[in-house]
Amino acid sequence: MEKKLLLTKLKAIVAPYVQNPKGLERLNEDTNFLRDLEINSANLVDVALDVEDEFGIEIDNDSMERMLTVKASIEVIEAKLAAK
Amino acid sequence: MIGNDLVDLVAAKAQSNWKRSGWLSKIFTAQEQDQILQAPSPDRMVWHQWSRKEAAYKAHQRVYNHVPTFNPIQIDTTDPTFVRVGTNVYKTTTTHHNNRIHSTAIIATETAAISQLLFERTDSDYKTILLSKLAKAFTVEASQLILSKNKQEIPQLVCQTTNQFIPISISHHGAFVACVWMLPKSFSKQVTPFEA
Repeated sequence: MEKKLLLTKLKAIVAPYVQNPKGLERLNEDTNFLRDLEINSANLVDVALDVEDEFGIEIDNDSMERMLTVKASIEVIEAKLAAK
Repeated sequence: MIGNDLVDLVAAKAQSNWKRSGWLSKIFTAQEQDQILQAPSPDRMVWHQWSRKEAAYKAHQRVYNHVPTFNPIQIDTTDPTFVRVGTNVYKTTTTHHNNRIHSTAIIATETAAISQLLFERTDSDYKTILLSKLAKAFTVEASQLILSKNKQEIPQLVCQTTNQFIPISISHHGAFVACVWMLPKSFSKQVTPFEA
């Protein structure tokens, strides 16, 4: 999947949990979910579950552990898609 | 070392559906899930255990100064008092109110007293209010206190009067803000104990 499309999909996934809309406007690879988007940490689980649903992949605990930034999340999704 | 976590139950209900398929099993072990589902109030127990996990995680991250991670299932809250992260043990204390749950965690062998304060936030700029309350507790001018985070996003309070760094854990959720701190043994200023 093209990275730009992946980024668009990820942005749509995190959007409902974002508490800092300015962070979402400026979303880029370096965006941190907690620091920049102020996503509540309990909602990180929802992000992982939504990613699973959207991409048809399974996010194991070791992968979820890293999914605190856009960059790390894209890496996880790309690796899981490649392994499908 | 310390950590704390606050859950506003009204906000939690609005933000999270813990009954969503897969949600519990991403956070809790099978044994922990049983404990939650068999509790008199699973709605309360789920956030009770979540706040203990978060508080212990913050204490653990501070001990090792490691990069932020999100792996709640590795933080074992099966015991009602002691939380285990690998071979590390943290003692947690959890208090319940009608609309909030607050947990603190310290290394189980820690003997230093911890202080805390908890208040309802009235506007979005809770940090200014937090600093003024801390200044009162430390009997210093608010301008002498700075909240900063290190590279790993771990917060500390800098007291310019005494040039000291005080480990502080801050948690805000919904309508509430809570923080706990532990004074270095050498801290000379008299500190007024604060009750939640």
